[in-house]
Amino acid sequence: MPPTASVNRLRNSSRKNALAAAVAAFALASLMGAAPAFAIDKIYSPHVVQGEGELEYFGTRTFDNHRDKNDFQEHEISIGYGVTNWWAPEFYGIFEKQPDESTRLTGMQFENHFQLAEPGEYWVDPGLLVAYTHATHKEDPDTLEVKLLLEKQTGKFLHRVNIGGEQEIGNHAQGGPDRVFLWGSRYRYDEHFEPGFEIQSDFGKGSQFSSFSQQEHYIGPAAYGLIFPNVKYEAAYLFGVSDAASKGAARVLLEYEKFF
Amino acid sequence: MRKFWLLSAILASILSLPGGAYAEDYVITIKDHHFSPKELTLPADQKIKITVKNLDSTPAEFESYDLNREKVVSANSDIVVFVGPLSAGSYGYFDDFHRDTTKGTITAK
Repeated sequence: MPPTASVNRLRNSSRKNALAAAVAAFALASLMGAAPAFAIDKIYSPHVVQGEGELEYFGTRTFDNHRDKNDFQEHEISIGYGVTNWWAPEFYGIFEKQPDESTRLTGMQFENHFQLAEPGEYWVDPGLLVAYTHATHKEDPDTLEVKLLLEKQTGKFLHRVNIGGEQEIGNHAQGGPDRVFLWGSRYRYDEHFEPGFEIQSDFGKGSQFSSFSQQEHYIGPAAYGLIFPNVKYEAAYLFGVSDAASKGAARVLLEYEKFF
Repeated sequence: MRKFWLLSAILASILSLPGGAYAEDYVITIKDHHFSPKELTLPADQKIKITVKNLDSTPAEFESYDLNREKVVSANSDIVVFVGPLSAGSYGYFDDFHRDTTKGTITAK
């Protein structure tokens, strides 16, 4: 066997192992305990760019006629870096505002973003996200989040799916995993403006799926692109389509990127 | 819970799907901050494997909005980029570290 064939076989084997590990981690996340309140999230690409540093702001807010579901806010400030072409860690400060309360720092997060294959190598591009959040208040639980990240491009359409769960851990943990499903599709019209839509669903905690009305489901329009050469934006307004969801939720992301 | 296991199995099946046969490999070289060839013609509707060789002593970044690819090429090293299947048409690419001088075009026919 030529040396290059041997190396290629080894690489393919390693990648298959990585893919299997991703699926296993996803299944593990689905088995683990419970979860915190659902906030609509950004939808991650599995791709990692080596040497790229980023400074990011992400914010979300709910809208509803009921006070207990209106004006929930989450704000995240983060800094991340592509250490290799398959691993990018990111550190977050997380601020939350519950309805009728003031905004407070609730957690510090260490996120690890793994690219599991070269973009375009397989039918779908896979990645994995593993994030640990340390609660800054003693009465709140820490959390562990695991998501499988998938991306598929067909012509000018780009589709992303994130599936996973978030598990409360520590003394104040309650319930089974909070399982989420996020889908985003966009038309790559121009690098400054890519219209699309998002579906974000929280299936709830526990070993059994609750009824649709008890789950939180959102769907709505979104736009993505570049504001300046190194500044990306994402914006979405999602409509709640189940009883448990708020009437609407908005999210915005601004990201400054620079190579180091 | 069964639904989740079923979903896991479906995802595992999707991930194990082969990406399809590749057309012959293509090579793009970076030297003195210029791509060679500057215009590359590829077959449409096929998966393509491109090796990008950076012969310069400084890093480059192979980037293309049209192809949705972005990858750093260290000095004096190679990377592999998978593209396609591409519809017939032109797709621009550039070195993000030397945008003014290092540009190229892929034409799919």
